[in-house]
Amino acid sequence: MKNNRNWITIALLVCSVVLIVAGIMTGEPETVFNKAAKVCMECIGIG
Amino acid sequence: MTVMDKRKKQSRTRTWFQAAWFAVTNGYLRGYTSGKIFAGGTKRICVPGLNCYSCPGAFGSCPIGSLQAVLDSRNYKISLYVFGFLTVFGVLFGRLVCGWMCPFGLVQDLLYKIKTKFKKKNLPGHKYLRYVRFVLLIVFVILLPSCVVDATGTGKPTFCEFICPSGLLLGGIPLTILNEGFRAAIGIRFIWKTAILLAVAVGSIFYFRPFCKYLCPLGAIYGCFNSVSTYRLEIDHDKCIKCGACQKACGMDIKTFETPNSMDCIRCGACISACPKEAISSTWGNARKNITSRCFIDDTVSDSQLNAAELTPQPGKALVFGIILILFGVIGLIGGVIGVINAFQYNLVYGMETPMTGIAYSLFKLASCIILLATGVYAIRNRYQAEKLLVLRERVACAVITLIIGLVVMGIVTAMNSEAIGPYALYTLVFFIMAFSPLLIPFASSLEKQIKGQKAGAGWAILLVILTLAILGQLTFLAMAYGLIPHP
Repeated sequence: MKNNRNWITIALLVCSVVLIVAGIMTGEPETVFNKAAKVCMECIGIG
Repeated sequence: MTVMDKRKKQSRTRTWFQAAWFAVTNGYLRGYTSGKIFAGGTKRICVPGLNCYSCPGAFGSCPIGSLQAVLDSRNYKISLYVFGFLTVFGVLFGRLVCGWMCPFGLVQDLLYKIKTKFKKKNLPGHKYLRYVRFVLLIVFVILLPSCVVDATGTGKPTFCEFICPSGLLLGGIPLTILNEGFRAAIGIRFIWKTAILLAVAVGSIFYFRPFCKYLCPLGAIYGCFNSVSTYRLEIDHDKCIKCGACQKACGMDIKTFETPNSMDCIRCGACISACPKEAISSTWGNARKNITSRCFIDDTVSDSQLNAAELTPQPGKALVFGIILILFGVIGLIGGVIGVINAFQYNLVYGMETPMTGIAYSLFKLASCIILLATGVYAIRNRYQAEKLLVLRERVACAVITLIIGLVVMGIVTAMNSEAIGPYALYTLVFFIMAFSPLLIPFASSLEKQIKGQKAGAGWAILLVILTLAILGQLTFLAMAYGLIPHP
């Protein structure tokens, strides 16, 4: 049971790294950056 | 130590950790004075907690805000990148993030510390209300931003816009105080969000973490990972007497002895310290105990089964090794102190966008160097006691791993923000010498083999030459940089 759980943890970790790399290849970090580097009016409740 | 003392100590430790985490991830001090937010490259990276990227001090991005930013963009229908981050944090920490790394969690915890006669754990209808966070996740974070779009195909971050009190507290309030333009633009949305923030803040005085329990979509995601994350709670059923002390101590009202990895558990650790039979432990705590008992407490180590007569003390080599460790430790301490001073100077005096992560790295390095120094002294003091020297390899490995973590953090941040590592020759010297520190591990292994009477090969001599050349080379570089010897 414990071993199975460890394997699930490792598999999920590998999947997450693959997801991040795939996201980087499709240019998602730039979308995140463009939003995060400017003040988000919706987030701060202005407008 | 009584159970009550343990609980107090645990609670204090957690509060300080939360505060330190907030300081490191929101340490762009210039933002708090200028009313502008940090715009460096680290904003591409998500931080684990609900930490608004419009907070003037934030170095990273809020995962929920980032998820909506990608989903409401016309270019994407799903966010692999942000889901990747959420999975990494979920698998590594689960809801440990909520208990230890979330700034809004810290605020609620502090409010709950206010003493009142009326204190309750749950709101009426808790059984059903706890599912509201999943509804908010699906509707406000995923569906509305990706499906309700304007003519250009762009949606809106609806959770941030209508619900998230963290954005108003960390971003809205400081920015409106500091920036006149924002103050002039306050409207109905600001009033609505202020009402939500006030409701959550007042609620937090009487109920334990109401936002985390009922409204937080980030907690809903991390909760799904609680049973498979690297941090899990384990119950020793032979010790557990099912007294319910864990549930009584738990702010989230979980029967820990039945469901130790419940998706509601924020891993605050109160149950561990409250258990009178010490039946609750965490996977991390168990691992830490194993390491510390081998490296720092139990000097007899597992190798003690070895017949002491079969061991050959190597006092001369232990002395040399101790001196090298002390040298590394001293150099690192100098670098660590300079690193902290540099980071403060850049951030405050020059107003450059050098993150406080520089300080975090320096603290890692200071910790590493203190271990190296202590190990060096230990090696010299115990150079005639062969069995005591057998722990050197593990202690040095501890120090080196700590340093490597610091270097990785620094490397990522430096690369993302396109910064120089440090302006001073002395700092560069320290950096390079410390980069050789992983060589200390095979050095210690070689010493250990010789003590056990095994053949050590030429490793010891080669490593000694490399380390000496590294130190001498860098000292020459330093002397040239300061004009003590002419530049060729």
